[in-house]
Amino acid sequence: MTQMGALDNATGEARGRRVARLTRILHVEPGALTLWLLAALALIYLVAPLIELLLAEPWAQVPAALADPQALDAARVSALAASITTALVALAGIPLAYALARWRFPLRSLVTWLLFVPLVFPAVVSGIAQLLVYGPYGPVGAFFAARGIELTDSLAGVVLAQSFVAAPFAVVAARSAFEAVNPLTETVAQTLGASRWRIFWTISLPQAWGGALAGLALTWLRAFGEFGATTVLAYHPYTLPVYVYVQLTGLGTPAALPLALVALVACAIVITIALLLNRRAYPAGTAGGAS
Amino acid sequence: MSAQPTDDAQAGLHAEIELRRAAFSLRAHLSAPPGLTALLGPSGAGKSLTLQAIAGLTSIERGAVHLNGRTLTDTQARVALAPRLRRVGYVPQSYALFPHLSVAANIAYGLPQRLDRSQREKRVADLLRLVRLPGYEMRAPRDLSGGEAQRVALARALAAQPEALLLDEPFSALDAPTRAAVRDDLREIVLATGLPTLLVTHDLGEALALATRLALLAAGRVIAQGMVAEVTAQPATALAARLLGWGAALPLARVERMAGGVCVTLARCGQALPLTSAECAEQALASDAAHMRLALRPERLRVARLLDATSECDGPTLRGVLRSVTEAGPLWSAQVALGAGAVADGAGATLALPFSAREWQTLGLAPGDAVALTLTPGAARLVAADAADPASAAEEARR
Repeated sequence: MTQMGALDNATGEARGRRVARLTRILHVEPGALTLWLLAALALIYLVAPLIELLLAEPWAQVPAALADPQALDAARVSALAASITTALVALAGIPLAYALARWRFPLRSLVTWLLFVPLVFPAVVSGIAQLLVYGPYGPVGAFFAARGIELTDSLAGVVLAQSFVAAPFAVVAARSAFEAVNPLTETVAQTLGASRWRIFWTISLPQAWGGALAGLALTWLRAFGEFGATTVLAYHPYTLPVYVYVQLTGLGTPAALPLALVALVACAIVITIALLLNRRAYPAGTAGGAS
Repeated sequence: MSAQPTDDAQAGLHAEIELRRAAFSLRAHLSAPPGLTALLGPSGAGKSLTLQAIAGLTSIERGAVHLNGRTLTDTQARVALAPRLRRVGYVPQSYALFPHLSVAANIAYGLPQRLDRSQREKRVADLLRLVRLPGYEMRAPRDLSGGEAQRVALARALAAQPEALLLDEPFSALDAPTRAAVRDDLREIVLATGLPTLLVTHDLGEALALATRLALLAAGRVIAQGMVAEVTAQPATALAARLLGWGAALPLARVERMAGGVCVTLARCGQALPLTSAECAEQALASDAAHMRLALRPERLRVARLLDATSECDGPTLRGVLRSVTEAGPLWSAQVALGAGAVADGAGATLALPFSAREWQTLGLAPGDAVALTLTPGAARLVAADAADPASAAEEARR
């Protein structure tokens, strides 16, 4: 036993010395090194599929795939629907975010809780739930169907599916942004003679705008990539994700890959815009303020 | 400018406020005529809440607030103007400048909306001159020093043409050297506007240096108000005396009425002192000795060394023994135990006396010396003990 213990100690010491030498070289403590390694692992996991996608991309076929009118239509439907969705979410979701951040009303925590439901619901289930409301026999769907407007299998259906799934991103982000606004600035504006309406537009929203915009960019991205609820509510007209899926199941990976590239590029552009907006909204040192 | 005499009873701000927040209850009745009124009190006294109630930022349960004859709120008449209609300028402790707007836009925010661009620019420039920050238009709030931010907040409040100003602890966000420099500026700017101004502070020195009127708030009640000299010279209770910088409130064994005043006998050391009726708070005389205290202003006691404990003194005098002396910067503090001999060694009351270093050297005192403390005018006052004063409870129990 004692011998074994001594041996363990010896190897333990040797390992300790090795770690010590390594950390000396890297100028970090062992704990920090562990954190760095875990962070690197996460990054690799997230980036690997993207790199593999680019490597596997049949570049020669990309121009032909992009010229495919069906693919172009699908991309157009996705982008148009995502833009309409984002506009609708901005219109109604930002006031909701403000209300959640500032007003105390009954069932406020229930509303907050409900807000997270679409984020965690399987998207297909969201689609089914919506179908019950907006389908031709649902309460809202029947109303519109009687007036000749189809809410399912139409652009309206795509927007409905996207809005449900993507709205929480903007609402949650904008709510945090409104909560970060110093409430005293709103209070003082009241004593300066401003109405609630004017305060929202000139004091609250401008200060929360950066966070709200970042949230709206996420909403656009989530809407653009929406697949599960869309397949239930509006399989047609094809959105890009649905068309990619159709191509994948019909013709296999080679047919789907060039389309995946289109999605990747569109997302990259929006992410870049969102990051730039965010940086402009929160320049270094803004947080200091005058308080 | 000094506070105007109240020939026009309606001029200025008059508030009678009653409200409750959880276990805290505020019942404040106070007036601020044109000029600077300090609302002085320890933290948690309800000072900020009073300001918020006046500005309409928190609702009151009972009472009324009038400003230059206008009713801002009156629970009986069911009137409660929205904050934006009250014309009460409010500068919070942290100033709360709008961080996304330039200094000019901050100030212009309160200007009447009907003004055109050139009129707005002129008004902003005028206000910046008034607060001594000319040319600061395009600065960002985050680039301002604390003192500058305070003055921009003041200019912003003035832009809305308020009829009264509420300043919540205007100096608490500043460091000590800045505070002193900024204080006189603020006083001059505010007095130049001629507005009734209520300034909240927990710092007696600040209140004395700035205000012409003083309202004393403790535990949600205004316990004294009036002109500064009047209020500081005439505390009615031991609590008021302490908040107004009086050094001690000693328990009494006996109070005897005599022609033109009273004779009080200190508990424990047994020394007697005559007081004129002007030196007695009416509120104190209404009760018995156990509920009275002798408040002293140590800086108004003349100190002399006694050759022996039985020497004669002229004028009302307390005797004591110097226990120790603490050197704390420019002011020294000497601890004097009241009484003579054994009494001074026992559980007698102790007084802390402030001295300048120079004064201390001329006195040439050493620990153990017997001293005479002669009362000069305004040095002593008979006040009522605090209701919750543990000393009075203990005294009660001893009977």
